[in-house]
Amino acid sequence: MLPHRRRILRVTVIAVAAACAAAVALVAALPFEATLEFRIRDRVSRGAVWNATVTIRDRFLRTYYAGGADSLRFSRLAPGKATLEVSAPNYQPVSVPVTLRRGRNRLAEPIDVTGLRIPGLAHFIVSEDLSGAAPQATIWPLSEQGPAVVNHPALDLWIGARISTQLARGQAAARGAPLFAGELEWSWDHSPDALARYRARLPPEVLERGGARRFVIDYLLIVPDPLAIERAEVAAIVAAAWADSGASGDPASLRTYLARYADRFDFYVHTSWNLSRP
Amino acid sequence: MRAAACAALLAVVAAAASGDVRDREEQLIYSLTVFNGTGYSSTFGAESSGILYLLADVDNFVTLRKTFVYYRPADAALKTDAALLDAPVEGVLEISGSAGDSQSLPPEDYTYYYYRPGSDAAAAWRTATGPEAHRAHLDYTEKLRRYRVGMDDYRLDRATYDYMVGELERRIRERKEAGGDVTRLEEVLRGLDAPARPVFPEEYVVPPVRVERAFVVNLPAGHYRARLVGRGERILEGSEKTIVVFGRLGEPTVGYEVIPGDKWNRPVDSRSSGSVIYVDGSSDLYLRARYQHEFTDLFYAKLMRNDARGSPGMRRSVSFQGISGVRLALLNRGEVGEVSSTIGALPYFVEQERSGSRGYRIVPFDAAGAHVNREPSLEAFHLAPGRYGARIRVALVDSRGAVIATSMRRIRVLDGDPSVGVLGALAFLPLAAGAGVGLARRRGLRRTV
Repeated sequence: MLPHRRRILRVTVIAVAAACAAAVALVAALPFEATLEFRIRDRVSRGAVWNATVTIRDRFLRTYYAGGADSLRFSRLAPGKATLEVSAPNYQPVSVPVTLRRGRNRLAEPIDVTGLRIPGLAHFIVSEDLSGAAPQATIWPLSEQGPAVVNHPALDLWIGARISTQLARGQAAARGAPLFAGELEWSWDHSPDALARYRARLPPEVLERGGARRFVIDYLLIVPDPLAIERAEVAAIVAAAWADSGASGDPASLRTYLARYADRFDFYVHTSWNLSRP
Repeated sequence: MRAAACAALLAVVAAAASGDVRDREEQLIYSLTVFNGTGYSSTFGAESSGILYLLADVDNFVTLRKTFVYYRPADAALKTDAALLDAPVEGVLEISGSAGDSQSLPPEDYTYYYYRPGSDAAAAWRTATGPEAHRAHLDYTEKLRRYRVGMDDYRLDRATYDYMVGELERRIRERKEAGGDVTRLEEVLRGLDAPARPVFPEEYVVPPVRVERAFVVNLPAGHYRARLVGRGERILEGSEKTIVVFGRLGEPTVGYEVIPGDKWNRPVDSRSSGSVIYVDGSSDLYLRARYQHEFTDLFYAKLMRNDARGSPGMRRSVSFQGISGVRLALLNRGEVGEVSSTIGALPYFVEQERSGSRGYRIVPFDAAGAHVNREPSLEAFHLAPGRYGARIRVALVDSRGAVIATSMRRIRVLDGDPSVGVLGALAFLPLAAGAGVGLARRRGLRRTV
């Protein structure tokens, strides 16, 4: 009887010890800290936010080209409520309240950050590539000091052009028959290697039409204040401005018309002469 | 299916052949300029690297930067693309030891240089931080500027001097031919002093590098934790790493660089006194002795390149200083220390040869003759093993004649192996048998026909 009781006691002690060990192991394996995965992106380009600083509690990270699909991560966070703050030069800061649970946390939606300005923008220059089936214009924002501004927020530019035939060369050059006036589709080059971000598509059918040997393109680039004006409103103002400047598309009258909206957007006019299809 | 497999294989081969797969990723890296026992070298700790390796009790320069990192198959190594992005992260580097001690290092301006205070003195690496760094760099640039200005002046003065000497000599010659008195002109000629050539600031063996900003990390051996603390006492995500600071193992030992006379550009290292140098006796040997430190192979490999591999159980010898004032002794077979003869280290010059199988020959350096205004190719102990028998023992002896510990090496001179002929004949046996069988069958075939 006594040996039987001893055996039961021994088994019980071993079982309790094993249960305790398992409990300890389970508790040890449980994460006490939280991690947070999230994405940030430029509201317009859906790409990187240049030179962004993200903070949460006592931790921060820096990012330059990571954006869009690239996931960022904070580790070693205490569970609980916290605020994720995203800031970057020339962007509007964003604060996102988050509740962190133990272990892995993930924000499903990317945090959109609104770009406010292109730093040091003095004017634009445009270079055209009219060869091939998809002629395009590369648009370079230039600073006052001269060099192109490469890493900047993607502002929702309104880019339009009036394409005309060119009547002569040199001093006698003049705009001929208007071929096109309207908005150009543009795309944003996300590549870190890119020297210019904005590329506008030029209408190939217009450049083929009329058999013109040379073209003049008057670009109108409008840099809106994203906090002051909507894109549709910009389009309406430009349509009115072009109508006001008449068929000649005189840049001087365009400037005069648009100057009254200086508090809501900046505008730039660039004319490319002597363009021809190779 | 097969076509897809072939295409995949071709893609892999093409990627390997291109040697430059740039699948770049923006990363926070620890950029490390580390002292490696012989000089300063650079590596970096990528995000995937949890441990950084530094040498103990020397100045190492550390920065944290955002840059692009990619894997380059040709080198089987991680590389950075700093041309595209190289943004240092500001803050203070906090380092805490295993004993709970902690220090905060602010970034400092720094430079380093290899300096020889006198022509006879040994050169040593020096570092300077803060204002001293700028001063050291300015001192050098000022000395260099003065040397260049001095050289400009010297060239002008030398041209004037050469012209005056030539002119005086011409006049003296003409006057002598005319039977005139040249005493005065000769006095003037003797009184002309050639301008002194400015001396290049040779004390800077490696000039001070451009002053940069980094955390200067100088720690005793041990394990540490590091992290960067930025504005608002916030910790930079991804900056928490372990730093292994290690020292050398034991005292310095003697290593040799063994340069065979017939393969001068393919030297081999003899790292330990237990190693045997095997030679065939047909060509001379040139031995260069150096002091070397030993390190744990894994630590040193990672010090040089953080993503390298190494063995924690092996040692690695690293030469750090040539040995001067010693001679190479040929030892008798008996006791160590029984010196039969000694050889001094001499300068040699590698001359190109148009004829001959090697295309070069190693000759004693002739500073005053054939090799004037040139530098010796090497300074070494010249040994012709064929002269001393099949088994040679050599060691370094100091100026008092005492053998320097760890410098002994055994050299085995291998004779031509007589069994080679027999083995060669055996190798031809199957061929001969095959030929015999072929001939026999041919004959049989002829008879049948």
